[in-house]
Amino acid sequence: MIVLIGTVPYETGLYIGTPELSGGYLAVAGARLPVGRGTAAMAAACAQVCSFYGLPSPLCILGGDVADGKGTAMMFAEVEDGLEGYDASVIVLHYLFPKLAYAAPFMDKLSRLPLKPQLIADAGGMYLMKAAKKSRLVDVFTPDVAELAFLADEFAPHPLYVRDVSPAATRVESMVAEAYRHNNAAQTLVVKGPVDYVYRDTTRVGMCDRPNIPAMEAVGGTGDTITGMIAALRFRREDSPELKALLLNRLAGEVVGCTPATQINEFVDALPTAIDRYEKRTS
Amino acid sequence: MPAWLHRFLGPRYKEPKGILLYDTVQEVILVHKMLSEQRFAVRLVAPPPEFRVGCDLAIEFELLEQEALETALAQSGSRPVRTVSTKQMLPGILSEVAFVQIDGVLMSKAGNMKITVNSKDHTIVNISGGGCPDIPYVAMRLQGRRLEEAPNPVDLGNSLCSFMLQISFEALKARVGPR
Repeated sequence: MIVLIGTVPYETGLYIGTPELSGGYLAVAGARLPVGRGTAAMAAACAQVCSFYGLPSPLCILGGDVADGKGTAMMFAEVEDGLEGYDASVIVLHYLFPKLAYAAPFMDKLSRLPLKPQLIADAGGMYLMKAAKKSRLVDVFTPDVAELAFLADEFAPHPLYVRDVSPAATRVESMVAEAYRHNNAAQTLVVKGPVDYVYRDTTRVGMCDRPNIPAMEAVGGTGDTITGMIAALRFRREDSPELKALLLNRLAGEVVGCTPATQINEFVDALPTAIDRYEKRTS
Repeated sequence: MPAWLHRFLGPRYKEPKGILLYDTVQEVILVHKMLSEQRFAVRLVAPPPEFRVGCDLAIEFELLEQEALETALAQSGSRPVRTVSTKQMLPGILSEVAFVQIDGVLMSKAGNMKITVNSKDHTIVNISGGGCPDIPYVAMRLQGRRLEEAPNPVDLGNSLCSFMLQISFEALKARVGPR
């Protein structure tokens, strides 16, 4: 099963269930969430890929968190108590209020499962793993170039504190090397930018730059959809799940005729068409 | 290099500095603003590693000014949770902002936080980046508003990503000017 863990800007509480997508909203256990950026966009994209390929729906463990950290605390308490009951083979740790105290018990719990699930960390989940020095135990990080600068900076506790502010997009290769050298990179790094790159243990294994849609940088949530798709494609045991997710995201941008004002729910709605185009091109 | 070794070998101040620690990022931002207005030599920094609990912000001050500063804090009811001193140079905050023009819109980027407005009417058309949990809510509240009428991101969110968005937001406002 795919388990998606993250906070949503919703009434404080815990919302656990499979997502249902309709009319630009994601419904999970009674919570009706707009598919804006963040965990909802990630879960919606994951659900779309699962639905297209006939995979079981992902399980969402969502903390309603109004930025006071209470939903995040409830979410980690639930995971600590019940993770072994979810039969997780792929886990996404997404938006959350990072507290160092969450990291060690979470990773301990994961390592004690009979079969360690693949772990994908993005957003607050990635910040937490770096701060807690657990990055090398994570399977996939999905930073944009600014977040890569944060991973490369040995001591930055958050992207706000990155010391080197020279244009990050021109230094991807050296920043990836630094991130791995300081053990602040996951086994696989998916670097999102005008050109997307995939690295595995310091080696570049692929890149994606077509279709080239500069407006996508402005659209909030385009990184979140990539994370959700990687989870589904890893669950499906694809050969190159990261590269395929990056390409599908760009194809979705092409389908919607992306402009800087395009919203992420339009991308999510376009994913079945984008996947269909991909499959027809490659079959 | 492990953090403890960095504390011995890393860059150091000539003189120790004082650090004010608060519970929330919002408190830090408000107190920093108040102290800056009173012309104290203060700077926003990451807290020393031994006091970090997650994504935090702290205020660095000159120990020479400690007495006057504590009086100002007491008078304004803004006493910190803790005051510590450090000889270790702490990371200051990012303040560089870049601008990009695409298809009739202007985007400003501070680190990984980007805010995009329509160049003609200054309507916020998109906000992207940021991994803190309040960003989806802050973005939802800002989107569709004109830059001049939109609330400050730090009045809506209390994370470091909201603070970075504020840097981006203020730079964009200064760039486009009043309309």
